[in-house]
Amino acid sequence: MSLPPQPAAPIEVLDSGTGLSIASPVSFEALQPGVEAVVSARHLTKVYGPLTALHDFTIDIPRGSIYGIIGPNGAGKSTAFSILATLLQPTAGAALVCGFDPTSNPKAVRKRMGYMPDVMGVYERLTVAEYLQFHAAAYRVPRSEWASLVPGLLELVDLDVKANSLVDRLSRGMKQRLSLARAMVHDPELLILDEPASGLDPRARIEFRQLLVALQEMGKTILISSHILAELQQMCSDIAVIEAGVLLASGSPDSIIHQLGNGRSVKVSFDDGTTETFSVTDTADQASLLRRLVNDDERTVVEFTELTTDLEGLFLQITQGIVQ
Amino acid sequence: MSAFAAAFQNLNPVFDRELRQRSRSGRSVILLSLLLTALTGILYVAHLAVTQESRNQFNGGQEMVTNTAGAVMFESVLFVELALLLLIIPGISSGAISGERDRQTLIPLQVTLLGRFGIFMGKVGASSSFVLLLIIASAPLLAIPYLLGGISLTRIMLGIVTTLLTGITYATLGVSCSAFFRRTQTATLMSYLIVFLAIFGSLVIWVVINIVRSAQGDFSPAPSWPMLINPFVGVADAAGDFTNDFSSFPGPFSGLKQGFFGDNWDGRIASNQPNWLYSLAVQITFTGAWVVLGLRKLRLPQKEID
Ligand SMILES: Nc1ncnc2c1ncn2[C@@H]1O[C@H](COP(=O)(O)OP(=O)(O)OP(=O)(O)O)[C@@H](O)[C@H]1O
Ligand SMILES: [Mg+2]
Repeated sequence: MSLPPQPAAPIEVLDSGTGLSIASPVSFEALQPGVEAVVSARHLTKVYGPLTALHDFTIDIPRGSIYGIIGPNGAGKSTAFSILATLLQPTAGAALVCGFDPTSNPKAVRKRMGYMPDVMGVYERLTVAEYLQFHAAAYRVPRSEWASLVPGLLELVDLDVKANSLVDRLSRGMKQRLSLARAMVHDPELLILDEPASGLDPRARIEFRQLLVALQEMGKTILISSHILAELQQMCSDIAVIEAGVLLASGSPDSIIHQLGNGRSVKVSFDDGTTETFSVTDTADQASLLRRLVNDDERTVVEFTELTTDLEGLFLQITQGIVQ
Repeated sequence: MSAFAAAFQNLNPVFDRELRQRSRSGRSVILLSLLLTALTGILYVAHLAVTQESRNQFNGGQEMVTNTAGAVMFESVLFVELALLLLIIPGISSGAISGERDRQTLIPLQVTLLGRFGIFMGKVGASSSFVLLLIIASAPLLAIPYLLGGISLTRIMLGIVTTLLTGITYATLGVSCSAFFRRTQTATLMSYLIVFLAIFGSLVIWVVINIVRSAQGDFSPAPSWPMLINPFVGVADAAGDFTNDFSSFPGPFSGLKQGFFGDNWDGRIASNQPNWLYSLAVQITFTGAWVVLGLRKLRLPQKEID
């Protein structure tokens, strides 16, 4: 799915009075008219020597959405997130995160964004509450607010009973939840979560998903990456599929299925025990196939199943396992 | 100190957190105890040596304390303290930032509003506060020689202050290495190498210059400016003194001061100059260059992240 190239808007405006460049929120021309984007990337490219980790990545993340990025290992998900999270300079292209350019104005972005890296490190000899207080201080949250902030966050991520435990004694899932709480100490409008659910058991995954939906209801925009497609399909309002640094598809889970449904196939079982797979181009084509089969006098249809209507199948269908 | 610490604590969360963690580990207490034990031992040995020497000199076998005894004891304790500090400091400071990198706690810190200066200063503050702690804890050992007499309070204060500043300089250097080198092992190795070169490398350069000069037929001592980078020589100018009594051991710092800052010898820097200030300036400038290098590595966004 190629997106029409958009001219990048100027990131910094020159103040005519002082001649100084002042940072002010600006936006790119929206990819979809009328949709306010919290994050927009235009032609983001990251090259490491001979390897293009991210190629011409153009995307809009609508306000209030849970936006999932799916891709196999090495697809460039963390690379894209690192650029958006003010850590990495893109080789080409530009991005706006909460209205600011992460490359030229990282502080403005950091104020408004919470980032959870794919690896979670912890300190020794520090309690869970102190860990959050430390990061609250690092985000310049006034000390007077800590007393209500820290217990509130711990309750949100269900760690309130662990407030006085040492951070390095927590289980992996607990550390993950603490890491999410840490990313929220400054009440950011945007959360960038790099594979937050990896290493969680099934129950913890479901709880994590519920937590993210609750955060979305609180008005936060969430950008999340994962390999687990079923997971994203259930909670994400939008999904982008990326492989070998290239954005393959983006949109709502349904629209992706629709967009990529051209080559969908249908499995049909007959009363004589045989099964046959038919390719259909769209719903109308599928309906006419069904009519034709029903009117067939020689064989009777006992089962009619549409294949690859879930993202898992689509994922396997549209990604080719390219390893760079 | 506590008011200052409290202010800095509010100012810098990294400093606050480091102190909190340190207070919960036994390491600093053990290190402090070992250091104080060693220094107490040195004080005693110096005392023995001084009294022994005075007995020999006056032939009477009667034990007496000369009026330079306090000075020799003070210098010996401070000399060993400086040596131990230079041995400890790279170890405690060179993991400051690379350690966070290893534990993968650096990136969460870097996306906060602290900024690289905030992170760096917090780490320098934490390492320096440990140096300050060691020096304050050993202050009574340095006061004993004063009470025995033979040394001025000014010299004691100057010696302590230059030692403290030298310690903070090398702590800053260790933190810079820690920011510059990705791996803690490399940072630690480089920090020790720099300390080693400052101490012995400067001496080797000075000796080589001397050899070259004498080969050219010039037997006057070489200029002593290469020694300004040497932390011991710097402190020596502040803590040492000239003694007219060349027959007795003058104390390590006085020995160094006489050796490198003798004003009546050719090629030496005059003793009536504030050489310790020049020495600190040289060391701080050198460290400053490393600080710039280290801070550059902490700037984000980077072309590549570790
Ligand atoms: N510093 C670097 N130097 C060279 N290549 C790099 C660097 N960082 C990442 N890459 C490469 O860029 C590509 C994209 O990596 P990235 O971490 O973005 O993938 P990912 O989608 O997050 O994968 P995963 O699902 O395994 O986390 C990979 O091929 C990786 O090897
Ligand atoms: Mg990744």
